This record gives sequence, C-alpha cells and structure tokens, in this order.
Amino acid sequence: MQRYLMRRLVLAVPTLFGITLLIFLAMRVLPGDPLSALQGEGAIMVMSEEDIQAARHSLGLDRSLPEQYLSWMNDIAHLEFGHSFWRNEPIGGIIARRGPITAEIALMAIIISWLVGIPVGIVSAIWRNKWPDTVARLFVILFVAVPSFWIALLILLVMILGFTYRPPITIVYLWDDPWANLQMCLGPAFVLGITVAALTARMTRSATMEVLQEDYVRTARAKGLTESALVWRHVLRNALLPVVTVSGVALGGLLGGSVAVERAFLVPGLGTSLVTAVGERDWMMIQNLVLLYGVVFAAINLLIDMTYGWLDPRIRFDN
Amino acid sequence: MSEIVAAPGGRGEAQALVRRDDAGFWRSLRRFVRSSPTGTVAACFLILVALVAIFAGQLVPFDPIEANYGAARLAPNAEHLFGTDHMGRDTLARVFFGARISLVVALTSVFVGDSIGLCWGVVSGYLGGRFDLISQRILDVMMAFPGLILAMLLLSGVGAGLSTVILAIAVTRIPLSTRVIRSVALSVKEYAYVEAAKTVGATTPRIMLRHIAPQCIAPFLVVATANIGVAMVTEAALSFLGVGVPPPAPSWGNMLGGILAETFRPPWWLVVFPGLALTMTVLCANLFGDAIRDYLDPKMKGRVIE
Repeated sequence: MQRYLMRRLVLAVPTLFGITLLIFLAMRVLPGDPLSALQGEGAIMVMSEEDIQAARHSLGLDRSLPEQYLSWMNDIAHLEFGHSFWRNEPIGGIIARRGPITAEIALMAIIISWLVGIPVGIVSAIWRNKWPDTVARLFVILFVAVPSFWIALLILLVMILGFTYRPPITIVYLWDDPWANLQMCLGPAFVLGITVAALTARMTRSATMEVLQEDYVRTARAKGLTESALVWRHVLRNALLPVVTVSGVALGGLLGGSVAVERAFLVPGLGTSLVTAVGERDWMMIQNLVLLYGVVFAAINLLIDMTYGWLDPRIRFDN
Repeated sequence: MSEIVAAPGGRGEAQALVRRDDAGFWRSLRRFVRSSPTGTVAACFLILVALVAIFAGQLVPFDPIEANYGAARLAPNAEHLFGTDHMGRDTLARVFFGARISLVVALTSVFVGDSIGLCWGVVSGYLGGRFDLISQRILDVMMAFPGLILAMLLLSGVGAGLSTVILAIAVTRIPLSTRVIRSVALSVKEYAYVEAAKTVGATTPRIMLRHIAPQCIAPFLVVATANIGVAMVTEAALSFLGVGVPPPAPSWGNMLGGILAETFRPPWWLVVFPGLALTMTVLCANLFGDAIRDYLDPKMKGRVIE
C-alpha cells in the first residue's frame, strides 16, 4: 500500500510538469501572441508600435520561450501569480476572493448528487424493472443529456419573470451572510448536483445489482435478515466503491460544467473569471486559472485512488 | 469482387454470395431495430435533424443572419412560430440553421479525435515499451483537464472560429478513445493468429493494420457514438460562453449566450427553443449510442462508458 502511494505520488510529478508545459505551449506557441491578439481584426484597443514593444518588454514577452517558461515556474514556486493584464489586480487575490465561492458550489453539488443519486440508484436496483426503476431510469437518461447551463437558464428565467430575482452583483461569503450566500450558490449547486446525480444513480444501480448477486447476500437472506437490514448493512457498503470513482470523474465534469453554470447564473466565481479572461485574452489570468483547475482535478483523482484501499481492504496494490 | 466471380461454381454462386451480402445488411438492420426500439426511434429523430440541417434554407422563408429591426423581439406568432430575437431574426430559422453547425461540429470533431485515438491506441497498445509509457503520460496530462477547460485553453490560443472549435473539441476526445482502443489492442495482440502472422514474417505495420486494427473497429464505433452527445454539449457550452462559434452564425449555444445581455426581461422563447433542440438531439444521440453499444457488444449491456 505504502509503495503504491509512493508510486502514485512520483507519477503525479511528470503529470504536473506536463500540465504546465501544455498550458504554456497552448498560450505561446499556438499562433497568436497575447499582445498581437490585441491588434488587427477585432482589436480591443489600438496601440502604437513603440507602446507594443514597451509592453512586450515589461511583460517579458521579448525573452526566449524557455526563459519565459522558467520564470513562470519560478513565480509559481513562490506562489506569485502575477497581475491581470487589464485590471492590474493581483491574480492571487482574485483566486483567494472567488475560489471559495466555486469550491462551495462544487462541494454542495457533490453532496446534492449523493443525496439524490444514491437513493434513486438503490430504489432502482431493488425494484428492478418495476415502475420505480422505470421512473428512475427516465430521470437518469434525461439528466445525463440535458446541458446543465440550459437548466440554469430555465431556472433563472422562471425566477426573473416569476419572482423579481436579480443576479448577484457582489460576493457574499457563507460566514458573512449565510442567507444571501445560499441565494447565490444554491442555484448553481442544485443544477450541477442534479446532473451529477444522474451519473451517480446509474452507477449505484448497476453496482447494487451486482452486489445483490453475491453469495454473502444470499447467506444473509437465508439467515432471515430483513430486506432493509440487508441493504443498509451489507449491500450499500460494498456498492458504494464505484460510486466514489464516479463522483471523482464527475467532479472533473463538474469543474468544467461549473464554468458555464456560473456564467449562466452570473455568480462571481472562478469560472466567470476564466470566461472573462478568455474573452479579454488576459493571458496571465488564463494561464494561472487553468493551471489551478488542472492541479485541483489531478489532486482529486489522486485522493480518490488513495481512498480505494481504505474503502475496500480487499484491493491490493502490489503490481 | 473479382475473387468471388472467379470462384469455382461460376456465375450463379457469385450472385448468390452478393445477394446474401445485401440481405446481411437488411438483416442486421432488422436485428438492430428489434434489439432496441428506443435506439431506432432515436436514430429516426437524428436523421430528421440531419434532414432539417441540410434543407434548412428550403424549410423556412427567413434569413438566419440578416437583421430586420422592424420585427425585433416578437413573441411566437403565426408568422414567426418560435418568435424573433433582438435583431428581428426568426428563431425557427436560426434553430434550423443551428442544427447544421451542431451536427457538423459534433460529427467532424468526433471523427477527427477518435480516428487519432484509434491510430494512437493501436500503435501504443501493440508496440508497448517506451512509446506506450510516454503515450500514457501524455494522455494523463490531457485527461488532467476537464474537457471544457482544455477546449477553452486551446481556443484562447488559436482564437474562436468554426474550424478551431472543431479542432479543440477533437483534442478533448482523443484521450478516452486512445485508452479504450489501447486496451483492446493489448488483448488482441496476445491472440494466436497474431503470433502466426509474426511467425510467417509479417511486418509490424502490416500486423497493426491488417490484424489489430480490424478488431478495434467495433469499440471505435461504440466510443464514437457515445462521444457525439458530449461533443455537441461541449460546442454548445463553448459557444454559450462566447469562445466557440462566433456570431452572427447561428449555433444553439451562442443563441442561448445572447440572452445574458438582456437579463431584465429575457424573452422566454429564446431560452426555451434552442435549448430544447439541443437537449432533444443530445438525448437521441445518447440513446442511439447506448443502442449501438448493446448491439455491437452485448457483454457491455447496461454498462457506462465515461
């Protein structure tokens, strides 16, 4: 187990290195230098040739690519994330301010997905091919297909037209004003949670059905255990392992989806910042925000791999 | 063909062979229809969407791009069944033309991305060794980003546009298909006939092309059909966020994105119709994908491809 963990951690190093390299290459080597994008067709602002040269120099864009890469790595190592090109605001500050909102939405979404998805999946597996199963599977098929940002728009539409709702303008934290914060975060969390719940329900259903076939379940039945005790005490615990995996995979989709859903609800989270940054070609913002998303996602996957051994002691990690 | 005609037994037998081939197609179609009625309905809807996309110009008398400010923001009525947007463009026309972009982007990006995955997976699985190891690390890196964010990153490098969106989505489709095909190639390469081909002296490219790749076609189709819905949603999300297909070209995603500009009294028909078209198409693409998977690989029945 220990050796497996070490191996996973060692393997994470080249992945992290690759993440930074991919981001850097995408931002610099693909056609379109961050500043030249400001010129030409659809230019956002007009600058003289000298201004451009001066700006390139002050941003370090006139240095060689390896130099630029190393200096970026050096900044990251010192937790120095640079400044937003347009707002001259430290990016570290933006992350610290908006990160908690996005994290809160993602966490609430995962909790909602468990609260909805696991019971739906279990009900579906126990009453297999009966009407509860049919209803549950319809729910799954529908919510796997519906794009989360469209549900967000529909909810917003009803709230705006039906109840004079207005999108939030400022950031409110849970610890400052819980009610205002929930008004802001509950919508996105619900929308994301319900779409992840569909995947969770599907996984729970198939895992529960598989466990119900096991010998020890038959033994427990033969001993005269009631159905509910059987499910709660014996089946659930073993059926939840794949659910954890699916939650981890879903969290990646959730981080991506939260960008669109935050934008739909106009919630001032990191996703909204990323969209603005891409629209404005604020390259330092894009670079560091995408890095943050990549690192968080990689870390979650690592954590999930590590919880396997703890959730299911039968799993060996020898090879 | 010539082989069949030249076969002993002459013409009659050759024709019988050909006819059996034809019957094979209809028979497998009938088997598909019987095995999955839902998948068949979904396939019919997708064909309908494709027809609408092709004949969009003939189906509605309005131009999807030209503004007509005299008819701006009309609610659905007899003339404009789906209403009009803030520039007076007919929503129905834009939804129909949007099907074009949605289908073209989804089909091309999945074809490009999954074909790369097919080649890469076969080579990586068959060769193994250092090439496979490095490939796996590269795929790890690509999978370290949520798909939408990887696409946004690439698009911020190359700029928004139809072809760049297709390429960006294609890249996000590569890792999954490569992984799936690689695992198939890994098991196929242990088969006796591959060993036999090696003994006879077949070259490595020939073995990969003639003996490994054909076994990977069925899983390739399964992954590709499962990916179409994902690619559609990704395109819509990118366009919705304003980094995908740029206006004035009508895409279901950028039609939804435009509404954010008018949150004080958003016209409901601009939210409902493009989203409904998107959801229905994705739903049918998923159902069709599930049916194809169950048909091609009964062992996988009911299992999830993520």
